[in-house]
Amino acid sequence: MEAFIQLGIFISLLLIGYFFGRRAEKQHYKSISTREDDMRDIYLSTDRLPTNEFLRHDTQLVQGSVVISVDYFKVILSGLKNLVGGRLTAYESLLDRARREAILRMQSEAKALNAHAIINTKFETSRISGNAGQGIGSIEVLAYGTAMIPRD
Amino acid sequence: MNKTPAPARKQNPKLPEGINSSTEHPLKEFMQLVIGVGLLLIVFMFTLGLVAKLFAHHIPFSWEPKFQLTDKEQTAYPQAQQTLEELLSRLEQAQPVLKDATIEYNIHLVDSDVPNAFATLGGQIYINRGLLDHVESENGLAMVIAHEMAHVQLRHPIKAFSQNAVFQLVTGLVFGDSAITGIASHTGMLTFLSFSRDMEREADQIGLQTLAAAYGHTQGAAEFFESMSADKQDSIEFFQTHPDTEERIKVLTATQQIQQTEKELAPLPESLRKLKRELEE
Repeated sequence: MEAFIQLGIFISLLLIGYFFGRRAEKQHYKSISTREDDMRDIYLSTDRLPTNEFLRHDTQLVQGSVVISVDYFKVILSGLKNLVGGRLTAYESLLDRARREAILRMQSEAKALNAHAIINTKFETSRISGNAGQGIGSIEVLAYGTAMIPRD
Repeated sequence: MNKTPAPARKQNPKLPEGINSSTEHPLKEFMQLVIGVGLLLIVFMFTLGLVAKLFAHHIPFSWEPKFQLTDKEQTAYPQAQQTLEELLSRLEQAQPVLKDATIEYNIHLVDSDVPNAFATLGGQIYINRGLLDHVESENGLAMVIAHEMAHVQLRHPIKAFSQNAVFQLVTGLVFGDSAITGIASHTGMLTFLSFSRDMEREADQIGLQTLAAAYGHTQGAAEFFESMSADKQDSIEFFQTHPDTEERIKVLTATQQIQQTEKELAPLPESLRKLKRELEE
């Protein structure tokens, strides 16, 4: 009897994780895609030094940071995948979303400063509650760079 | 002063999706993994379980833990307990001799209404008080005890335990300390609680031989099962752990008919009858 209760809890957690996680991911990708279109003007580059066109611009640090939690379904899916190895696609989409969201937030900051570009873009990724044993983990992605603001 | 028009601002390109993340449906991958890993586990578990079963009876009896669920000294019915022990030692002498002479039995009268009896590791045999309501003669009770003794003698508890241990070990190794292990260990307990049908059949066989040696006939052997199947409502738990009772009654009564003539059944010992009466009141 107890086994069935545990199995029931496990399956409900799995279903909750799947449906909500999938819905969140779909909506997030949709929102990322539209906002990326809005932000095409804020040019991104990883050049360490400004190119000629930005030589007479003001500079300012801009950053965007995001924390995304993994869902139970992804945990179990990756747990199974751990046994046989291979691409952890469940986590790939999670990190992809986090990076793009972090960039978008950084671009919004730059846009608020009337910047035209961001150079020297860098990322930091870290696990939050990563050492909580079996607890569900989440990731933080920080994107930062130097905004190029034209002088009037 | 002429102001030159600002050059067109550089734009970020629109990159195609699905490079850094997979566009494949996650359920597809999940199903593949569940089926693949599941099949592997079943094969692995089955092989190891078989190995455990084959070698379990080589584990010396003295290694089995003498763990006891109840304390014999503190029983509420010392007289009835005493009678059961006497009956056990009589049956022990009548038991057909198998290889292992180191086996010791320990019988316990359990203060429980549920009509059931079971044998576990270390030769511990538990007879629930409620079982007495379902036997009329000493022969009927002796058959139940002889059956449980046969389980011990045939090393069924250690076999079931070894298989269960293997099952837990594999799930523990594969899944680590996760929710899946919790579920697996519970299902493992279910398998541990019951012996296989073959084991029950074997124990019936040896039990009958013991009974025949002790009383000179096997009449009354099916008493308990007949009484149990007469009121199934009362004994759901029993039928969950003991399948195909009908078939066992047939086998048991068939051996009785071979002997043809009616033999007199030994009445239940006085102390047990007294306990029965007390409980009915």
